[in-house]
Amino acid sequence: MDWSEIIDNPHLQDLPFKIEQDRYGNIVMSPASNRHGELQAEIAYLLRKLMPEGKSLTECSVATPEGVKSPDVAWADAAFLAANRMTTPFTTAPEVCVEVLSPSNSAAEIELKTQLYFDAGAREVWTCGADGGMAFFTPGGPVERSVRCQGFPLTIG
Amino acid sequence: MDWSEIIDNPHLQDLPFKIEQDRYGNVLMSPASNWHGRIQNRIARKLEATLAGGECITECSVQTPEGVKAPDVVWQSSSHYARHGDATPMPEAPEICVEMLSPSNSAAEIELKRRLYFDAGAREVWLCHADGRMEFFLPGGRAERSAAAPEFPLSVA
Repeated sequence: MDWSEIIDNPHLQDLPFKIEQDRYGNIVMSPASNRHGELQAEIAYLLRKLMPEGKSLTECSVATPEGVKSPDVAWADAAFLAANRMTTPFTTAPEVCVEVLSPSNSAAEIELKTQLYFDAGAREVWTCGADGGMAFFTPGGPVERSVRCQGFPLTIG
Repeated sequence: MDWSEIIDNPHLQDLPFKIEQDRYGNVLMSPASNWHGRIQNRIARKLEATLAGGECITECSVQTPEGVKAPDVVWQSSSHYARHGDATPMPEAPEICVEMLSPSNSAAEIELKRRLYFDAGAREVWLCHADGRMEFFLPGGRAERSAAAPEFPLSVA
């Protein structure tokens, strides 16, 4: 299914799942807990506060060779938004892409998504564990702190 | 998500999608048309009429290393039933697994499933094309007709 068919499908409107695509265009759904929603909102708030020159996006869609994927939170600057905000899915990834991990995510899956976001143009990929612990990655590998947003806490509530 | 969590989830009960799993345990959904349902049932009826000693199951779940997959129709011999009963998902694929192709299925996806069903123990994998034409595969490759059910028609349109 095309992404436009998926987002327009009435049966998929009110499900408590995050919706993405696999490489074949099938719908991929993963459960979203309330804790997941809390962490996602907190990250979006902190990104907007610490980097007011851009905006936070929740569950934006990004086209990748493995289907459309959706970072839980992303941050994009004004230039990215001016160029891309009317496009769904984005054909390039926002500068910062964040995945909030849930117990059902496997390490291999997160590793794949991290690579896909970098390949699509992200400069940093962050992960947030269920305990609020953050991990930061650049295309060169893991880093202690975010380079783009040095004030971002290492643990969030 | 475990398969048991997926099949027990109330949000997934009445969706017009075929539900499977990806290799990471996420819910995988593909659209199922009414044509799909009609032909699926027709294949099951014709298969039971041409092959004695077993029974058909529609959308039988089968465990594979790429997640739980569900051939549209399977034929399960009485000896497979004696070994596995209604195990959900089946740890071993039933003897004949039939997959119906829809416009959204890619060739690569169908090839992957064919391999997974054979690896899981299927003796034959059949494909039903969108025009009703049947294609039969044995572990060694494509065959003119089914070896187990040579009377099965070459088209179910």
